[in-house]
Amino acid sequence: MAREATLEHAAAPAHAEKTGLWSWITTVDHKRIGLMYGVSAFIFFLIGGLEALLIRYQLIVPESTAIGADTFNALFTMHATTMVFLAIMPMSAAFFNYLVPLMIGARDVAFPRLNAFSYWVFLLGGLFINVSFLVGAPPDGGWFGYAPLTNRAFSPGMNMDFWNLGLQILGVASLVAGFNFIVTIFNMRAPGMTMMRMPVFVWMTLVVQFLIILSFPIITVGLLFLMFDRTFGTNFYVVAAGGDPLLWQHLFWLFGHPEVYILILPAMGIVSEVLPTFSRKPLFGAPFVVFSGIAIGFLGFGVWSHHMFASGMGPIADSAFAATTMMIAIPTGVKIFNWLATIWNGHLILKTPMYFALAFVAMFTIGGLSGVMHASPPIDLQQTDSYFIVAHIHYVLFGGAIMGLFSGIYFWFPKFTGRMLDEKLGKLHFWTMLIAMNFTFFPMHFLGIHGMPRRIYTYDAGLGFELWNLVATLGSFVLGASMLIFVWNAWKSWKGGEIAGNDPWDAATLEWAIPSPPPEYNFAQLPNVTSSRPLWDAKYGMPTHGDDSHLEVTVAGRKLGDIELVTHVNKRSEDPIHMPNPSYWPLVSAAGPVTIATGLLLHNWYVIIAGFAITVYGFFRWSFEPAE
Amino acid sequence: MSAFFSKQSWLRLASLAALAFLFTGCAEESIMAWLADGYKQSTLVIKSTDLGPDIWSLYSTFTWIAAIIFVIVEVLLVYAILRFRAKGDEKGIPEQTHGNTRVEIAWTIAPAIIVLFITIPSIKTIFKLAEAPQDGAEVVRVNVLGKQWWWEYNYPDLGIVTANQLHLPVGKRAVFNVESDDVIHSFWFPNMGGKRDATPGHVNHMYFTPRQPGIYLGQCAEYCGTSHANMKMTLYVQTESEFNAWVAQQKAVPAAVSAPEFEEARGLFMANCAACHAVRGVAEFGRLGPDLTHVASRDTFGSGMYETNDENLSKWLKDPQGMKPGSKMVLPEKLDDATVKTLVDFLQALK
Repeated sequence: MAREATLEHAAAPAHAEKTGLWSWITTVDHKRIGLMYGVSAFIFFLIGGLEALLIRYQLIVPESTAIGADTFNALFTMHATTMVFLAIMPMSAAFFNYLVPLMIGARDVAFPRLNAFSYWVFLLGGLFINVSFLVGAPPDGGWFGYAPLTNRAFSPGMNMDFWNLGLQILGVASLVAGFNFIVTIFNMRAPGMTMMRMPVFVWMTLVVQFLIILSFPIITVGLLFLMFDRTFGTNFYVVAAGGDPLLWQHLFWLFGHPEVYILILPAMGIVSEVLPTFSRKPLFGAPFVVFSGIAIGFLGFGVWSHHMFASGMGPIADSAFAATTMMIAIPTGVKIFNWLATIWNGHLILKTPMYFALAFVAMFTIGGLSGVMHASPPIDLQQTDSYFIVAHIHYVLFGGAIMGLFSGIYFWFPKFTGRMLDEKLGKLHFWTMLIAMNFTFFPMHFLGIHGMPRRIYTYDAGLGFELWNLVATLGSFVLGASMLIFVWNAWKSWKGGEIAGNDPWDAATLEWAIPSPPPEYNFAQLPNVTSSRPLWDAKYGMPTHGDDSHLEVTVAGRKLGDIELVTHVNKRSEDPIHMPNPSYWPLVSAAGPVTIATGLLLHNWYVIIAGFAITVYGFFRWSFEPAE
Repeated sequence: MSAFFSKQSWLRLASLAALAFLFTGCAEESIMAWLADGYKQSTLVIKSTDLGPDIWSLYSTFTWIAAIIFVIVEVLLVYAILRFRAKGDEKGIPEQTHGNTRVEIAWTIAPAIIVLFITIPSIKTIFKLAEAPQDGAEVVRVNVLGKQWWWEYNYPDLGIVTANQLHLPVGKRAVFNVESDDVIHSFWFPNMGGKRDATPGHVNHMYFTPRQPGIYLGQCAEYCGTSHANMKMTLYVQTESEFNAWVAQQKAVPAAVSAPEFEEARGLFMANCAACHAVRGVAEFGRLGPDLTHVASRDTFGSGMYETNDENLSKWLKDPQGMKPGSKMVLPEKLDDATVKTLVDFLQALK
């Protein structure tokens, strides 16, 4: 009964390939939006990195006057804000966008134009915050924006308005994307792609979207209160008028702790795809990895006050939050052991993506263990707000999130561009980055243990901080240089790298069954999925279940025998594939929020009203535009 | 710069690299002291308060457990990479194991047991640190007030108000009520154990008994604006008699407040300083800046930034913001050299 079909060309494309700037501005293709997210996030990552290098430059010697107090305070505020909201989150969003529809066998996300809207809102929000540098009023109240320091009385300039309004704009982008991905994952899966057959990356995406839609409203409330205080003279955080600065801390960390998992779970999802592929085995205990991810997400909402042990909540609250925080070590430990078991007895192909994934496990473990240390309040009271915490978060977010995201970039770059990244340069990048990050961040443990507080622009000579600050700064310069190796590699490989083919890594998931880069419609025929490793089973055989409607699939020009991948033949496969039309209304609508924010910044009602008008008009035109 | 590369520094580097091996029970305290040597505000100085050993025993347990798990994970990881790496054949297919429920339950329960094992002593210590002294116990009470960017210490039972330099008697329980006047700060002497936030509208409590006389350094740990880095403080733990002498000195009014040779200086003080600074016997309404009644008895000023001497004080009076970024000190007008000299002489006489 075997019929022959090639996944890539079973039906003629309904749309010709589009090129040019306008096609990118009007695109609603999840892959192009994913790439735009990725490139924008990487540029913001370089900006945030530059800010970090300036911070380290100021701290290279004690009592340095290189940069000065106010600039330094703005730099660490913007470094964290940029890395959290403009680099790691959108870089993760790049992967969600590009990969989720491919991995679940869909032609796009559920709401393609809303997806474009998310991207444009994010980009404009990111630019809005950074414009503060150009007008000489960069945010300088810390990325955590503690009231009352961020109230008008102590922060009279526009600095924290840029930050406050910018984060509200970015929240819109994250919320819209969150709902979009949830609907996509629940409704757009290919036939047979049950929830437990979804790749772990898609699962982690789903958990992250729930964290986003549940946590972003909380910080939005906090930010609105702060905006009301700053702009309209309310007193939510003003002590003299009966307000409470601790309200801000609770709202911020009730968002802020889930945010940590919003940053790390996508990288965990990526690593859960890379390790099995390069071990040529399935992920060990995939359901355990999925459920531990859900558990981390769930517990992540019950631990926020461990950021506030020094705020004096009393011994009972301290004990409760210590216990819940330590409980998170359990599902996290489960994940690390499952990853180890995945490579155990494997056939490890040590290509660059695998290097980064293995380093993720090694480095994240360090950040996880130091995290358990300050889960205990008596220890935390010595460590919180010291460089020990700076070391901890960088092992989690750089050794964890960034390391995982680079693993994903090396892994899927062939799918994004059709070309392989250079292995030699990749490994050079890897070793430089790994060694430099340890020279940069490990000494910060010692600085913290020996009493150096974080966020200080200067330190006295003679306290013993000199050596480790020097080491950290030199490490950070090499770390910066390692990024140039990557940029060179990406440019060179994009222009003339080895042609990748559909499936360069001999992988297991659906995105590798189609060409690199994939056609606009992704799948000529929607695949029918019968296992969690559809492509692997297609290539290497899987016991069939008495179903006789098999297809032979040609992948990368090789015929792969009797398989079940595409047993479901689209009944209407002769029909043209329906794809949404390009539209510039998402961009127009996205210009609304940033205009409103500009009006609030300038206290100009006309601009605010214009912003609302643009948004409403954009949505109106968008609604009456034909969908296809 | 050459100091960074001294033999001692490298010895310490080597020793810290071998930290896990050095944390051996019997020699722990002396090793801690050695590791903290050269670090003036290290958290590893554990014998300076009664609660230090409690905090340290937790710290040590957690460090041990973290170090052991770290070594296990990294050794397994490196072993697996070396043992299972593909040699040549890139298409080899290992056994396709999907999982093993029994093993997975085991490594879910194992961390749960470890977590239980470390949570219980943590909670015990939390309550011990929060234990208020019983009514009637002999204590030294200090109201700590964080301000941008300096510390005010008020001893309500002794009637002393001072700034930045804290004095405590050895062996007596210190009871701190920590609060703030403006934004959130954090009160932290690393040698004395944990920190407490100074939050406007909330009084936080903190207790410890200093055990060793000496000079201890601390600084603000919560980012509080421009000069957060310059919000330093010093703690003098003194013997009972030294402390009593200090108290007597602080309670007395310095001769300079009535000495006729400072007549002109007092007038200048009233005109330029008294709106914010108090000097008992001259003007006591100014509360925005540090109390200057015994300013010359403190060996540093500017919240630990500068040694108290004529030169530094003169520079400060001419350009406070140049000396301390963001300083809130406002002068009615720029002071000329003669005025500065008169005021500095007066301040230096306030002992």
